[in-house]
Amino acid sequence: MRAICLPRTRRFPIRVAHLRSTRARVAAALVVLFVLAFGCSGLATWAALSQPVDESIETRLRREMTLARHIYAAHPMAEAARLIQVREERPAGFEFRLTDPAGRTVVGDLPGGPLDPDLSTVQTPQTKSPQNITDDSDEADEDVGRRIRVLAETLPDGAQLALGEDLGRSRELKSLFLRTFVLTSGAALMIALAAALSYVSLLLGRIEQIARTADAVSGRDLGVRAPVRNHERADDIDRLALSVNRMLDRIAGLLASVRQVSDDVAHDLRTPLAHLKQRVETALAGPPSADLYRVALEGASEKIDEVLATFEALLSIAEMEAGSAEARPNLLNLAAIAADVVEAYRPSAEDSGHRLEFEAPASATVMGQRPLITQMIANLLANALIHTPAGASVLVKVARAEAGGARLSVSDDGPGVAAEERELIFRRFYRLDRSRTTPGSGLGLSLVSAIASIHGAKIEAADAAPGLRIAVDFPSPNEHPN
Amino acid sequence: MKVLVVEDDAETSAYVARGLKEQGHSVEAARDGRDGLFLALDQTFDVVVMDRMLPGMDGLSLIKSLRAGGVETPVIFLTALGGVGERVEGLEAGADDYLVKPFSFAELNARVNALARRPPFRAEVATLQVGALELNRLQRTVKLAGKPLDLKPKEFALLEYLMQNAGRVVTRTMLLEHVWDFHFDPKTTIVETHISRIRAKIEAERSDETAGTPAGPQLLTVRGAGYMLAAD
Repeated sequence: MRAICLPRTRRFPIRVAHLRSTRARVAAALVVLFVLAFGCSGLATWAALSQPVDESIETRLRREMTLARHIYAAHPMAEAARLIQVREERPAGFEFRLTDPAGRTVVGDLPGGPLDPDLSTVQTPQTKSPQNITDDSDEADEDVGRRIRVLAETLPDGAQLALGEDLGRSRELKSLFLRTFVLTSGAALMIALAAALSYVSLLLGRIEQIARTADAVSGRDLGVRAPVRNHERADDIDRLALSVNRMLDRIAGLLASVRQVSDDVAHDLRTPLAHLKQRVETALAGPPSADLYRVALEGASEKIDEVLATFEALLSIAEMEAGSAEARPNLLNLAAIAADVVEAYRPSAEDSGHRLEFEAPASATVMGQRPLITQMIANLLANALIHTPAGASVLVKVARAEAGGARLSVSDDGPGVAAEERELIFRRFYRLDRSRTTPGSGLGLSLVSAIASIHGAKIEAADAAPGLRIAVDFPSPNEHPN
Repeated sequence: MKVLVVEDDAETSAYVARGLKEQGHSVEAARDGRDGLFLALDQTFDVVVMDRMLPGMDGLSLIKSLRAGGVETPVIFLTALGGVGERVEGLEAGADDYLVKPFSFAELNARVNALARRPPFRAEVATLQVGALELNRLQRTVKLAGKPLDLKPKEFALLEYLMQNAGRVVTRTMLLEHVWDFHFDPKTTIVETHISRIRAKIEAERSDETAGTPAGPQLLTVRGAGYMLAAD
């Protein structure tokens, strides 16, 4: 109640702020998740990539060294040096240096002084050496700050062959991987974030529509319903919307029922009360006579009984429609109850010249409240007897229905009810034109309908050709709403 | 007879008390539940007429307290709540009868009389006798001056109830409730037609009698109130 009284300006920012923070939380969580997932996969790839690159340098150096050793053994030194030089100056070749047993360089430009045998890493100086400053060739630039993996071997004649590969080449590979990785993962992160955020916005937008529906209902517009995108294949939010809508339908139904009762009371109790007042006033205005007063008072008392009966029936119907009738259903034999009611009415039916017939199996079980079922059958039967002329037949029939249910029907061969009026006879105070002079409040069948409804039974009026047949279909006792 | 009326509405209380006094009863009135409980425990009454919604202590609690205190005085509930559930609740709490407001005094009076003079252990009485009329509950037969009357089951139940309350007025509503278990207006002349059939059967039997035998019981209609079986 307090929420309804709050001004809109105060409530609106609170709700939007809440939704925004939901959106922000989702975004933050997504970023953290993505960074973690991509970080893990990047590290794993990096580690896997680093190992083989380093290993393959050594393998390739040793393979090349074996080949060079054979060349050296098969040719005189000058010839071997030339062959090795030709070989290593191919695009995929290694850097190399061949030194004679005296330590002088024969051929090759692999930097560095004397070399350790086998594998080593040679680091060229970080700054240009003085003699290179004047020589501004590209070659000299390349010798600054390089790290070279070198395999050196002393040949049988004391000469030394060294083969090397610049580690910068594998670094280039790694940095290429790193660049690609950062670019692709960044792009993926952006796309996923955008997609997720727009999806979350969509969901939150749909929830906000439901919230707006609730607000509109609080603002007295009971007709508003939350939108449902797909009734057949409802997702979570559709189900939420459907639940909210069902709740609103129920509330609207109850409100309509309450409104209907107050309207009924206003319209249909006012008339007999007006008659009552007229009688009393007429008697008071006339000559003071005990006899006239007695007549007036007797008439007044009858009118009061009429008002009370109507009032009672209205309250009973309202009580049942609100579903607050004490629900303690029992297993009942509909056939036995109907038999009792038929026997109760038989003498008066005979006296009024009706033929009353009864057909039922030995047992037809329904779930319900005995007093209400009794009243339902009695009202149906009384209705048939009152609204058909002498000589008419009335048949009360109980039958077992498929799926364990039971059907109660009361048919007559009287004047019947026109097709377009058949559904209206269950309405409160509805009376056929020709019935205006017969006794009754116009509530008997409404009460029957209300009783049927709380028992989960379906009621219908049909043409009995000739006459009217009202049938009540009770569900199987296993399917009783209570 | 001594009647306790527990009712907070002054007008209803005065109406009931005045009517009961005119019928020759002595009446004590309480205006709320606590006073009612005190009076009911302090004195002995033949019947308690009690409103269901009372200040201080509601009727349901009051009757439960009475029964818990060992007071078995018959209680009639008066109530504005007429639903099926309400009636069952009242009877289960220990009330003996239930009357929905507004009611006519004749109705209340008939029920007070029926309750107050209900003979103890009446279920064990096998035969009821009113004048020349004799009803056997075990054999489910009725004889008028020794000659069997052929009655249908509901006619038998109706006559049984009238004989239990012989000499007292029973209302149409009481008959509907006790004989048919109908707690609503049946809209047709169910009671009237059954009464006239029983009356016709008794009269038919009686006309066969030779002159000089006792007149036997009379099934009387009491205008504005109900019916009464008089011994002669």
